[in-house]
Amino acid sequence: MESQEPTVGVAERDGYSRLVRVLKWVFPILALLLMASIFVLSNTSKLREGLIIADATLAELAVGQKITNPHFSGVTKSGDAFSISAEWALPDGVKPQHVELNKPRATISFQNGNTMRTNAGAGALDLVSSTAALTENVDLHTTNGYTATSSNLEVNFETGNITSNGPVHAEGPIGSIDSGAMELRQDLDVNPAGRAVLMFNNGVKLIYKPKKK
Amino acid sequence: QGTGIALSPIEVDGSQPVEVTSDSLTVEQDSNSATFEGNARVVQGELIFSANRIRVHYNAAQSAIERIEATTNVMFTNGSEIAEAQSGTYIVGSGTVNLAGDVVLVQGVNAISGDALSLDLNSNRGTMNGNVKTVFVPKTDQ
Repeated sequence: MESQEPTVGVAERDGYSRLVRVLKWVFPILALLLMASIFVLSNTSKLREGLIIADATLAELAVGQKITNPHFSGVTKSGDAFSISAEWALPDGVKPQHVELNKPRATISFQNGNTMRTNAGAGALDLVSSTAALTENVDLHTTNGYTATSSNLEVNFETGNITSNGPVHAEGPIGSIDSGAMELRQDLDVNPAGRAVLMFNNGVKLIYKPKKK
Repeated sequence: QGTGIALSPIEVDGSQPVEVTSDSLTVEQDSNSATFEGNARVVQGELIFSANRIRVHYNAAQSAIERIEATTNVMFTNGSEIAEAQSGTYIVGSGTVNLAGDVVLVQGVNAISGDALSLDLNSNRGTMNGNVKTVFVPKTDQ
């Protein structure tokens, strides 16, 4: 039997601890977590389907020299319209394996009416490994009020994995997220249904701004 | 039969921003969970909730938090009172909180310790069980 010296009365008289209500404000954190996934979780697999079509058109287009204002668009298998353009594109040959992009821009209009715009200072498409490296300040905007910026972004269209080894900042009506690095792992090549794990590393800070009453 | 704890509700200023910091955050779509790993701290005004790891489980529809698990060096404070434990679980649906492992609840000069503390947020009552000890620190006139 444990030793039980104190009497119950003690707790009542002092109106003990008022910490309990503390837990009620943990709810908003969920909203922030969902905000984190808005950018990446659902979008990459759709983009992957679309961009494979696009690579083919880019390959036909390439004639080994600089193409100004390349622009190609299409609809992903899941029905989202996308368009990719740049100031110029420089394929590394008639049968290009790499395409250098200046001021690449991508827009995806999702069927739910939301649109995501991405642009960067520079980009490099690797048609062999089906990856795109976006550099010089990547930023994303969605029409429902979310923005995200990162110094660089590596997108792998085969696996649906996205990595930013530099700081990431995401902001929306309900708050913001900052971290030193970010990685989305979907491994769609191995697991087509996608097993998305989104990781923010090197220090994370979420700020939730409750709506003003 | 444990020691009853009476908890009086405090009004949390809901308009203050909530800040969550940790070394890393992992959001797993499959398990509908998000884990703040390493020095996890949730702060709103005077209120602080911290632990080595805070894991948030939400429902499949991603519309509500179901459960929050905090492990190692769990601490709550509202600036004046402090609760510490080695682990804590908050079941949102039933409004119950279970703290376990070297639980200490400190309010001013009173401290109560035990192996496990279960709190019911609806009735604002709680029970401390196992090796329950109450420590009084007589008020010294500094």
